[in-house]
Amino acid sequence: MRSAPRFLIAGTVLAAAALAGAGLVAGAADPSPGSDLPELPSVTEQVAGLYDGDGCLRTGPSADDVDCSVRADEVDDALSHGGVREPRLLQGFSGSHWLGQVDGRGPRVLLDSVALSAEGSFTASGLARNEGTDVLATLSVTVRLVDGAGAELDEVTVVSPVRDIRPGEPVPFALTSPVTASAVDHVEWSATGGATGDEAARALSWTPFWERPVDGEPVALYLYRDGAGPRPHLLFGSVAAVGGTGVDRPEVVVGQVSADGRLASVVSASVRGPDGSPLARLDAGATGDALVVDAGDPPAGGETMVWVQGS
Amino acid sequence: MRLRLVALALLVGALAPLAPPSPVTPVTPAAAGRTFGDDPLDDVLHWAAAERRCGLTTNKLAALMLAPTYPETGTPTGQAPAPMTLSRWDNQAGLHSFATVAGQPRAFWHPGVGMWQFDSAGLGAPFTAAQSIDTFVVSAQTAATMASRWCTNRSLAYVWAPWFGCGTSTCRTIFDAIYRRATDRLVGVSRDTGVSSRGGMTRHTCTGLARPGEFTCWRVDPALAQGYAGFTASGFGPSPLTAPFFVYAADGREYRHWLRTDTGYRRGVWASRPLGANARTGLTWHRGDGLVDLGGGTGGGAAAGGGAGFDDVAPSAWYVDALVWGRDTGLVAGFDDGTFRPVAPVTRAQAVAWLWAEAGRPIPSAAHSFTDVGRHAWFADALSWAAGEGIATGFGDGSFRPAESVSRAQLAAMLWKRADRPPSAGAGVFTDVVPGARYAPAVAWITEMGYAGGLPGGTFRPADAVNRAQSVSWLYAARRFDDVAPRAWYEAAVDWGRYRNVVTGYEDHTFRGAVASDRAMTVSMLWALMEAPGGSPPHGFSDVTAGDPSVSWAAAAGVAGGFPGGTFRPAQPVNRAQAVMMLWNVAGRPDGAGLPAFTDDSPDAWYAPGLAWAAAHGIVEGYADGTFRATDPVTRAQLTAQLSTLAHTEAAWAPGVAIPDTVVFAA
Repeated sequence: MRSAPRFLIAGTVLAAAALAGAGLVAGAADPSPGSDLPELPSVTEQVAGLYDGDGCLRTGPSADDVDCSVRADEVDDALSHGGVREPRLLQGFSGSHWLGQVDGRGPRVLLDSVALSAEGSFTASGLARNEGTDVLATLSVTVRLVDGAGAELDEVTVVSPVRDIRPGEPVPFALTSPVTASAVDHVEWSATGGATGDEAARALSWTPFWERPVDGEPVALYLYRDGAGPRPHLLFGSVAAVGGTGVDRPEVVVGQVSADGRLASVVSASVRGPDGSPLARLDAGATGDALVVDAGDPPAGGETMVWVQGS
Repeated sequence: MRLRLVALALLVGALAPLAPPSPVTPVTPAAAGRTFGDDPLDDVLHWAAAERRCGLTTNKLAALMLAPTYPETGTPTGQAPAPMTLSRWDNQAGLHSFATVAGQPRAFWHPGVGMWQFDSAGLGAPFTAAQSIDTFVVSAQTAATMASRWCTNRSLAYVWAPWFGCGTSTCRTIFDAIYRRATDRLVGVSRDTGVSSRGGMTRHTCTGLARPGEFTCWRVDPALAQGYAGFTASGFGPSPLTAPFFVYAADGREYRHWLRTDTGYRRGVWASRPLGANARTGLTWHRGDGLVDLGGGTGGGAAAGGGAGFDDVAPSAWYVDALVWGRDTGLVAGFDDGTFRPVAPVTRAQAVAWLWAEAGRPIPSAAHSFTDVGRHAWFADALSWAAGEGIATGFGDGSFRPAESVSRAQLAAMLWKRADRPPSAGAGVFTDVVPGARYAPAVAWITEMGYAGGLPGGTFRPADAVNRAQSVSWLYAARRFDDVAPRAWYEAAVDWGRYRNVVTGYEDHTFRGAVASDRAMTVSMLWALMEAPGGSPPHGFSDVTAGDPSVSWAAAAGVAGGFPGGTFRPAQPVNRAQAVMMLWNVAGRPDGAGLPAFTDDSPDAWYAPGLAWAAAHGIVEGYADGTFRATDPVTRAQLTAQLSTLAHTEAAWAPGVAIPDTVVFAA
């Protein structure tokens, strides 16, 4: 009887990766060259007059009513910077696992984020990260499934639903194989990048507004109304085009990460206009809403990661 | 604007409103209109004027902004939304200290803050709790968000979509009631001058581990929330309600500190999140206070200034100790100008709210029936409780008249009734208190107990309005022991005893219920129960002060004897069997009612008759395993509970015993 297949497989992966040199970098020696963070517009630009000329938060109509305990530039810095395990708010991204300094060796699978099925068909979901210095149009993850005799059972390659991946950015992936999970002895991972991407397609901001748990209060929103039967999990927020140009066919991709750091699910939703239709284009400075519908609730204690992108 | 807060709107609709801390300036609700904080409304109008565009007028944008605050905070008509509102829906482990739900529930990080419920994962991401409470700050963000959405689509439903509480019609109904499109006017919005932009949050100066030097920090105490404070109710949502905390920002992080003096925990707790991080998964927790409040030196401190932190209170004021207590327990709050206004009168509504708060804000068993107080009044729960307890009575026309000032006699009567009408030596002390007056027993009792004093000229001035300083002073003097929780199992017994001078506490105002009762202590309580009878012959024990009246009485009445060698051993703990026998002796040694059912006693035990009697009348109870444990020391809490039960059980007394006035048989 096999025990703890996830742990066993992950351990096998590390060993196999070391032998195969499959791009599974366990640590970066030299942090240079660095990646430029795609920061959002300063908080001072979000509400005119909320911060004074010194970057202090205004707390009253008088010029003397200011809170200088944290200045605007510090807030901006806090929103976009942080440790790899801390969340960041960047253009087209909200979440953790962003690597501020990349080593230039290309994409890699973040093994400690991978969740594997223990029964039934083999499935896996997790995060991969662009640790190269170029924007990648796509990022592909390949898994090779091997049985106990060393024979290959299957090799599966999937492309992350997130495109135009900036240096340091993590992206989700999810793959399936008809191979029975219990037949897999170990797996070998690799990740590759596509052509050079277009960073402008990610010049979007995401602001979540509310979340409705499964079977929570019924919703009658201008773009959604609960029907009969089970009520799904909802996440409602707004997307704004913050770059100099508009973005075509904007969409939101949401990854739910469990408390132990593994990617549990990935869903996506179009950014919609006031009439509820998916937007063909979000002009510069314009906003649209997105309602992300998922049949299940996010894992307790986990993290919601969000990518916003155009095409 | 909230995450995972979506069931709240319905939940709060079913809740009766709770009393905010005083002072609340009475407001007259506009018909079909709404009440809003005075300063917050100015903030809304300021930013509405600054952000109006795409055809929006200042008043229309202001009305759009006002509408969601009511469902988001659960505020009913006639009440002003509280800027300090803290979300109670989210209860994820990550919001509890050290991500442990059962650990320290009073150190809880509420992720949604303010009257628009800015969430750490949404619009509140770049703001600290202090900034999200400040209506000037959040009005700016709200106005900008709404105006932007209006420019995208001129639909009210679209503008309000970020606020879940608006639902399909809630905000529209409110908007229609407060805005006249034809004249572009805000109508029917009453201002509550008791609600400021910071909603009761106070500015302090702090030093701490996370930031060098002295810096401004803010104290958020839910008990001091201005406006509708329904979020402070125990059943408002699944999450606990935080203890008061200090909040500030440093180096791109928001910090919240729960000091020991505020939580009562053995160690302080503090936590932080990077600005921008969802608090549910982004908190880092630390042990220790990590912060020094230079304003008051402790978590209960207030801004530097006059006595107790109020600008109009002298540090040496006669009531300053009482005021510090009232402030730290959340019973009383000052005004926005930093004053306490000690000579201002107290309304009848405030008085019942204070008494209710001091009782631990119990849930009333039934709604009051006063004709002039609605079920959504801010003090409705307090009044229902007070009416149910017989503390608050109304007038002959069925009214309560909440806005009228409380007279000295009325407050004395409320305290006396709260104490279950204890006996007193009688009226006649004061030249202006008629012995037969309805309030005379209350005045006599409250002055005999030392809770209130008279006035010059031997008067009490019963009809004068009691002022804020006097009220706090009386409540402070009559306060429960510091170590007896409002819902402790023996709390009612202690209340009965202390209001009748049957039980007393220690100099530090503790009761110490877990301490074993010694022989001197026990006979003293029994002697007090019997109204301190005098005239007993001197006891003659060699180890007790000569002439000690309680020991003399105990010896003479056969309640407690001595030991060979002529000693009384006053410091020796009394065990449970001895206590039962002393009680039995006091009650006149009535006949028992059969054998008790304890598994560890014997019908031949020396204390068997007393135990049979005590068990039959519910005066003693055994342990869960069916034992009585006769030789275990009796604690002060146990003894007090036994005394109280005896005092409330008429059948437990032998015929012919002169039952003292300290005894109150249940009606």
